[in-house]
Amino acid sequence: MSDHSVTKARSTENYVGAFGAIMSMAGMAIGLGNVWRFPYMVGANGGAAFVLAYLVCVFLVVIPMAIIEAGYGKGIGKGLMEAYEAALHNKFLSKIIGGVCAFIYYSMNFYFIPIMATCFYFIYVCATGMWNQVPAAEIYDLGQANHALMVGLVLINVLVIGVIVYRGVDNGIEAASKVMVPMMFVFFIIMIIFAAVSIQGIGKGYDFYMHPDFSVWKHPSLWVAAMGQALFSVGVGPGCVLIYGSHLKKGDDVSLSLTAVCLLDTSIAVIAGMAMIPACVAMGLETDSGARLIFLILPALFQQLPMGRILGILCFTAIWFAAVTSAVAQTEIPTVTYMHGFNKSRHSVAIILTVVNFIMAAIAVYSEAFLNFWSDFSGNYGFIITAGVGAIVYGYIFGANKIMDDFVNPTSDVKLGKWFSTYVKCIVIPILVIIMINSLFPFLG
Amino acid sequence: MMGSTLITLVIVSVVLFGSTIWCVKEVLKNQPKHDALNAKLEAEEHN
Repeated sequence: MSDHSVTKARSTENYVGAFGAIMSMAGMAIGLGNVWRFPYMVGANGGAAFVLAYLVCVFLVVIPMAIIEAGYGKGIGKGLMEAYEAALHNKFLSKIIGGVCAFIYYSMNFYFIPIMATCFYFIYVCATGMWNQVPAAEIYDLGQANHALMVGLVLINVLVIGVIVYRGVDNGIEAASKVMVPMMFVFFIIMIIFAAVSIQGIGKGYDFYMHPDFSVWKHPSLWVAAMGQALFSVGVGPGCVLIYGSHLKKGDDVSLSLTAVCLLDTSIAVIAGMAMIPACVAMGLETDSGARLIFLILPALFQQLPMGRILGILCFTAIWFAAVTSAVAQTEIPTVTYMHGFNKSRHSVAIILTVVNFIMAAIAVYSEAFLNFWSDFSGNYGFIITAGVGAIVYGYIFGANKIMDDFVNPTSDVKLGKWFSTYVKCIVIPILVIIMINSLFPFLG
Repeated sequence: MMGSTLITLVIVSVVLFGSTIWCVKEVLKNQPKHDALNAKLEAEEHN
């Protein structure tokens, strides 16, 4: 293996085992997009035909890019500032780019944590069967109007995220992910089984969700949508895969592990859809994208189902787990970047970021304009720009071939030939950049 | 439920969930090999 200078003085924070590493990286990738956006897109874009198109995108573009990014992270073994410095050889510029990229990723928490708080509120709604006193459609507004309650829930969520990040990689992120990620699968599978045996006309729902309409494959817009969703879902480019890859040990596998992570991300999305969409369709509820499905339609569904309160608790807990592991990732990226970049301890950086998380998320509870600003700034523009910059810097400037030769192939279970780095540079990164530009300025239809 | 939906459900389940389980199983199976490699690399670094 190469003794390239960047691999010296690596971080000593590593995953304890392969299972924990996969669960941690899967937790980072699995987020609310898997639970609410993907199922809607499947139903609206040709059912199983969309799932298969999505899988093609995952195998052809997302997995190769994830392998490159995680491999680079494993080689660097530190934060984004060091990652950019290894490629750009300019300390000042790298500190700025790495610091800004970490902040942009972190700032997603400012609008994300209030959504987590709402999710938490709905666990309480299901536990108490609030729909017996308040119409299901009004429960969401009732919660949002109670600012003191939402700020309290924001505080609980911020503390959960803060404690996990504060405790570090093995005792915090890995320990939490090893519980939360498998539990998401278990909870959604219980819902699928229950819906399959107890809801009359569930077959109609499966037809809506999974009926294959392969005629959609001839529409370029379907491939653009599938590719965009696949890239955003795993989150390749901006540095999250890199940071989670940096916690791998020098001799750990990259290629097969990252393939498993991307497939787990897709699997949970398909399973979440199977748990929710067919049931909604069978009960005559309109399925829709975004928060409407989760916070307005699901309570109405659970109100009508036998054992709806228990199923509701399972469902919103699974969704909350997905949100927690993503919010942890959004705090872990700046924690690792700033602790290495400014030579601070994990504990001090985690405490500062937790305090800022609380202040910003609490403001977002009171101001919708503030929430929308951060949603646009980081969730839309920031993510896209940093993903494009990251992919170009890792793939072209540092070099995909160098990453494969020095950090991935020597220790991976599946060795990828020279063709792989050429493929990443000529096909994968251009596609990623085109899709990202199209997200900012739609031109592909 | 339509037959084509059922067939697709089976195909998606086998392809997606099967390949996911296979990948995770392979990574876990190879862990002892990587543990040994990590121990060797660490020993080399200390020397």
